[in-house]
Amino acid sequence: MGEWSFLGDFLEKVHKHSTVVGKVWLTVLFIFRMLVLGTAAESSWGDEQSDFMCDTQQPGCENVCYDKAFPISHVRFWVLQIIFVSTPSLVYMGHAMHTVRMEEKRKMKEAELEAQEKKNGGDTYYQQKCSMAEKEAKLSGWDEAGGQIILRGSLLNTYVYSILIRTAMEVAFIVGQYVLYGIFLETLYICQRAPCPHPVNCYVSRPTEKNVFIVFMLAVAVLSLFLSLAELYHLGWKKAKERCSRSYKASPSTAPGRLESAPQADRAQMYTPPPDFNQCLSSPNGKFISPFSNKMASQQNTANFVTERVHSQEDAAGEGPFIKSSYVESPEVASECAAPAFPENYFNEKRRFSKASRASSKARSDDLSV
Amino acid sequence: MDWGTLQAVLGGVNKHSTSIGKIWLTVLFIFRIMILVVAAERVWGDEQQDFVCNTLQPGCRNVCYDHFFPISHIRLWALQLIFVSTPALLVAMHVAYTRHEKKRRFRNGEKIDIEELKNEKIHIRGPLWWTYTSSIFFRIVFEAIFMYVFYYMYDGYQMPRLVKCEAWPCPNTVDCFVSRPTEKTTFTIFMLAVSGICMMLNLAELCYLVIKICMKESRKTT
Repeated sequence: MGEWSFLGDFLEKVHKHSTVVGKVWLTVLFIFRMLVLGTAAESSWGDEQSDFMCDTQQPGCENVCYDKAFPISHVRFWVLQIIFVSTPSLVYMGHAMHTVRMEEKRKMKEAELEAQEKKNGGDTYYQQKCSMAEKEAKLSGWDEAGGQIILRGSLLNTYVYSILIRTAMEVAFIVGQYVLYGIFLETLYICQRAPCPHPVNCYVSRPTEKNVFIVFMLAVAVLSLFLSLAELYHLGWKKAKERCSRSYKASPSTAPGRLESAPQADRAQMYTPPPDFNQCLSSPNGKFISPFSNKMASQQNTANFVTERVHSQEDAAGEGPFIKSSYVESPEVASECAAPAFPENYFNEKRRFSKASRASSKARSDDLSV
Repeated sequence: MDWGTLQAVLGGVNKHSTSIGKIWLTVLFIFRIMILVVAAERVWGDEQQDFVCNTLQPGCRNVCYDHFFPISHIRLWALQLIFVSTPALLVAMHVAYTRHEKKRRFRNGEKIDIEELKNEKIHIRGPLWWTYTSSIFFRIVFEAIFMYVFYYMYDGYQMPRLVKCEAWPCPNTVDCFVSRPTEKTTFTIFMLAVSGICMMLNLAELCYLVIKICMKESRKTT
């Protein structure tokens, strides 16, 4: 088993970042394939050529008959099978490590920007953070709290592809084994090949014991195949659920996804300019009245309260579990300071910016609590 | 053969490699060293025992085996892996030397950024870039040399089933039969393919490093 430590060490890391079914698959691989192969099967096939007897005195006949009967030994075939079946997981592992590194770099950049913002002041910070943090956090799928990689976006795709390739390899090797040897080993092998002078009876060493191991390894391969298919089903269902929830969120008005990619210019156009000071002075005698009249304030409060309630309900439903945004939505106020009419689905739009966003110190939808 | 030592040494180099370098290292360990240890050594295990010659002449079999297999494939692959891994040690030595120098300067009272010293990651630039690039170049050269040696020594990459031997003391041309030729051919081609992949990875890494430094230089000048 020490010889398998090279692969074992790599797969340990994969174990950490797999789904539950993936972990079961890895355990099956370690215990029922690597360990069995290393300890039991190797010794069973140890004397496969030395005890391969042919009923002939012709020198070289045994060699060539053994070579014809076993173009590649079962043990070596299973070694190659294990390696090729594990390789897609390593590719996923590479991508996961790359994601981790990108996430670390992003955090460093954020820290730098924050330091810069403190120097400069102003709200360039928000705009830059908006564009970078949203995009990258959405794609990276990294949960700081858990220290684990969350399967979403491109990482989920890599994982699914790795399982698909793994399944294909598994099937290929099972079929290959069947094509090469059939299922069971026969005790007697009749060989006709130069320099054997005529068809010669050759006898395989330990056929029953070998058959037991062949059936065992075949069963474990089929079990691994089922586990891979189960994982695919589980991930496919999860992805479909994600897609459904995304399409549900994409209500008739502005969708959050689209909003993320909207450039600065578009965003600037979305919120109406703040009302002029004169427009807010509704008093006919021209006396100064505070621009934020009681009526406006109470309307704003009501809107905020409703939004918060909706947001907490959605959180309870488990939507977007790993990117938690704590924000408060302020409704757009028309330039005439009239009470805006909120459409019914308005409160589902989480990322519309209020015109007061520049001066407001409230948490914005783009703030990510990581 | 104890490959664990090599793994320990190269593991340290892994930290300071590029991404392609890390992939190369993984391929080296899993597809070459592991295959060599777990599978290939067993295939070639009985190569002399089961090398059968159609003669009763004592010593003829020995001489014929020696004539056709001057160095066993296994030993050649082991040498290849060692030679190909050695340039990475140059990088490890350079990194160790750099760190040693920093520590020495810090101890002498010079103002060194402690955080950077503690931070393990060392960027590939300056003299380290030259060391790293030359190590990759040597890797490619060694891979190519060994691939050629295999081709030259065994007349191609296929293991023959029957070899005709005329070496003394064999009295006449004697038929000798190689043990497990098909399996050996399979593994020879497999190891050749992986060598090719490793060489491609090294070339890609070399190109990546050269392009990166060119872009950096052009950015400096503009």
